[in-house]
Amino acid sequence: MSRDDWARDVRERLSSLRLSPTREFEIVEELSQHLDDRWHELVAGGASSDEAKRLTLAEFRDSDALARHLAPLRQAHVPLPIAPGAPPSHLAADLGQDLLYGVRTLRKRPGFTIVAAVTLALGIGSNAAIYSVVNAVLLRPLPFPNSARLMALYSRYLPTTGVDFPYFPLSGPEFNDIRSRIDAFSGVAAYDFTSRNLTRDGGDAERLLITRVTAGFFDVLGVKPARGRTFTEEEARRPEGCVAILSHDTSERTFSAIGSTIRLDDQPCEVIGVMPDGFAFRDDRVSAWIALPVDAAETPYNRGSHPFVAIARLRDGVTLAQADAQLQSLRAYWSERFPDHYAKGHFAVMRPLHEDVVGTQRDALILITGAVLFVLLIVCVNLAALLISNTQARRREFALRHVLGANRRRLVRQLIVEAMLLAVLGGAIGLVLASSLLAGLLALYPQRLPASQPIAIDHAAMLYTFALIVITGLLVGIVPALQATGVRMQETLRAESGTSTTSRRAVAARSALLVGQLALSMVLLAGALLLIRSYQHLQRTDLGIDPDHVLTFGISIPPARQRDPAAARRTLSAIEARLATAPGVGIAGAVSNLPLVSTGPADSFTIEGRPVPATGAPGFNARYLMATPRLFQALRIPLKRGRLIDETDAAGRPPTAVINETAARLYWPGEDPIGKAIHYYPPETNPAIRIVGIVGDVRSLGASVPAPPAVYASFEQAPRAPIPGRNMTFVVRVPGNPADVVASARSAVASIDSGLPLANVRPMAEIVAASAGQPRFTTIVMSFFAVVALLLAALGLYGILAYAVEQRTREIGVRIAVGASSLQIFGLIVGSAMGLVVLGIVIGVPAALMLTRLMGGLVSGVTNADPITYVAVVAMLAASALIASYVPARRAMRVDPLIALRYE
Amino acid sequence: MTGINTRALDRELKKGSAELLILSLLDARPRHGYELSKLIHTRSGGQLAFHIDSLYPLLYRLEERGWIKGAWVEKAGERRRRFYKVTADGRRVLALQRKTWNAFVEAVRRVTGGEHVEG
Repeated sequence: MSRDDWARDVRERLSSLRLSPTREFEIVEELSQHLDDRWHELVAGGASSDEAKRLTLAEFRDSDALARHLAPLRQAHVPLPIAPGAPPSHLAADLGQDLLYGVRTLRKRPGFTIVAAVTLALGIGSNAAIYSVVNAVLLRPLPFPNSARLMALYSRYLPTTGVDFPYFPLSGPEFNDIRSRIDAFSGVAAYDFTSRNLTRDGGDAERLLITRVTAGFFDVLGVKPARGRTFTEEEARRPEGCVAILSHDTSERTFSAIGSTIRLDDQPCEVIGVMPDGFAFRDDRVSAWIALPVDAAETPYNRGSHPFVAIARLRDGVTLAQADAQLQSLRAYWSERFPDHYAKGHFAVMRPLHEDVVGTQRDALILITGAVLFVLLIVCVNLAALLISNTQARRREFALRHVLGANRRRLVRQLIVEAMLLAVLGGAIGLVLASSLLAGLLALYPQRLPASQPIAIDHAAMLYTFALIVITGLLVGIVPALQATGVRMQETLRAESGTSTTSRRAVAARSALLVGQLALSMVLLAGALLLIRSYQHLQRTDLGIDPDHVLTFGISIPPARQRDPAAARRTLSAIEARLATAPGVGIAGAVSNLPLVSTGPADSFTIEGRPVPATGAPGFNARYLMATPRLFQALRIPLKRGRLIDETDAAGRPPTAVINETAARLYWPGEDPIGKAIHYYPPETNPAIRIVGIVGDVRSLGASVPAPPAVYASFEQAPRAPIPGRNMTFVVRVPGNPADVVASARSAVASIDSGLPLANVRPMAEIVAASAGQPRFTTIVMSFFAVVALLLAALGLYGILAYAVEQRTREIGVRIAVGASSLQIFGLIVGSAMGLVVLGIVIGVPAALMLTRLMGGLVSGVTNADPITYVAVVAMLAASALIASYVPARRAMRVDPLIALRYE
Repeated sequence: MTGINTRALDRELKKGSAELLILSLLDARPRHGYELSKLIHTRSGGQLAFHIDSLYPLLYRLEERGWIKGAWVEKAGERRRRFYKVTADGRRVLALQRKTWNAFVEAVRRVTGGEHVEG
């Protein structure tokens, strides 16, 4: 008979009671001791073993007497017998106990709990913040009824036409064709963005952002004004009258009621409606909506000029494919009717309005979402590794509980509950953190987010966070739980110390997790570095202008203020001359389209002495800009050959222009363009413009896009009749800070005409910076998360090394005792760290090569296999590993062999 | 003579003298459960025997009341055993119970005129 047999018998008799595990263990021990004593006595008295056993068990009167007698005692009713006793009857049985026990366990280890909760908070918080943005921009539908049925309409130029525009505006006749020939849409409307000077009685003027829309616009969106009405077809078509619909804010701010009159560009406009509070289409800064007249008359000029962007609503019951098929049939009609214009690959296309609004932000947001999920994964792996060594220390506890009857499933559940508690704690802190992270993200965000509601940690984000918490808890808990409750739990009880195979297995499990973590960080680092390199490339790209010390602002002279365009131009020239003498100003010039803000219309022209290309065929096409002589000095656009426009190129003299190098290369290859003449369409009514010089290229579309061909015509001559030169952007070069001359510029303008507001007053350098806003945002955010990942990886490496050194104290002691030098010991520890790093790199490099390929359009100027990036990533990982292993290695060097050997 | 508390008497009659027995035996010196059961058996000449499933619940009850205190004691070469000793509270209870018991026995003796019963 062994005492275990007695113990089992006693335990069975106690099973109906609710004793604390410790108490139960004691009672079992005490009673089995008693039975054992009795049995030995009987055997010593000559009884056979079986006889002795029978007599011993006769000490119990019946099977439940013990429980019955114990039942009245307080100790038999411990409210929370926390040790997992009998196997749970169902999955959630006694979950409350596990929770309470988990809370206690975490409170016992505040250091660990804080580190775990903070890293989790960082991981979960970042995800919650990014999710809020992604949800608002990508996932939430547009704030219009049935918005999934809204389409954006464009025309498309295939590269076979000589240009490649996937989404190009429509011309008036094209818009008209869509409206009259396609019945898949219940409504089609065009819009554009413009600005107007709003003048008030006080004399002060402000520049308003305005959307011009055709009559059906609001019906297509499905939105009604809060007060008043929208345009009638008649009002929309009549350019001379002006009626306006105001935004809620503008109506409040200007005290404009329905029926009152406001002055836009000095033209009186009747307010006929006010939109609901919060209504915004594409840009929430828009203050008013006025009519957009569409000239749909069938002339070659109208068909070739593409000013309109349109939206449409799919008719009920019509599918996307059916609408697309109708657009295809329109394409066939166009090719047949206007072969010169359309046969080469120009047709109408549509895409969902939501996709159109989100545009380029999509890729960046998806990339960042991926990055934060990676960070969370790294946090999980890190924590799982921490928990493994933690549970390692608790193996005796688990083994004891196992002996006491707890089953493995119950222990696994206990550990997962503990991990879940950590996840909940981290998630709660993470939500708090998320608000700050979100504020930071939004401050950095380069574009106006096309979100209808303010972006905040809302219900959706909460729900997402909750899901993350559950997944995180499971991920973090499962590996340590399975690892700690594996086979040979009983052996643990017998083992004298922790230096058995089990702890070696724990180190192996942690090492595997760490290698994974290093590989994940490597992917993030590579992604971030590629973005940084690409951004650097953009920054180094010569835009062709010198943006520093330059102030820019726009001035517009509406026809209602000065009917004669030549007079308006004279006013603008006078302003330029006055600016040049204003205090603090060096050089003042002006241009019709400021680089990086707008590029000027891409207009076709003919070249004198060459055959006229067929209408719409790839011909001679360049951005048409008007410039004053001093623009080139103000922006420091270099003269390459010939001469610049100067004061002799005045009104009334033969028109002149300078072209950029790209235009010269494209249209006069092997020829000298200087002295040649061009005609804009229609050539019959447009005068010849003689080229007098070639200037440097300006990347007016952004650093990543090559400079388009450009023609700078003399502003005073304004040789292209339909473009009068009423809107000019002034470019003022100053010796000091551009912001300092704003007041002086304002008074210079006011001294010519006090009714002209300055629009978009901005330093050129700011415009340049803003043009790189999206890549900068992506780069900064990615770099932030990559650094977090690297820190976590270093922390993980430090953790595992510190643990390993502790486990190997004896071994290190022996090594030192038999003569290993400190340097060798140092090498031993650092070497094992480097081994892990090498493994991480071996896995991480191919993974990074594969995953960074998905970044495609976000990276320019470097390939995703950029060797410098990878060398840098490896160096950073190795350096952080060295730093992380320094402290554990130092500790190993200081091991005292005497103390280490006495340990056992 | 001190009047006997009738309610206490009633309780004692119902519950028997088990508590008194245990407290008395432990008053001399700390003992473990098996020793207690053997002592009761031998000293009563085999008349009194505690079953394991009533002895230990009784010990635990006394312990819960704070009259006795158990502690694990390890001795060289032996397995650890739980020894119980009487607490100060327990001693006061023991004194009271002895008095009650003696009064009871005295009363019974007077009534029955029977043989002397040792307390």
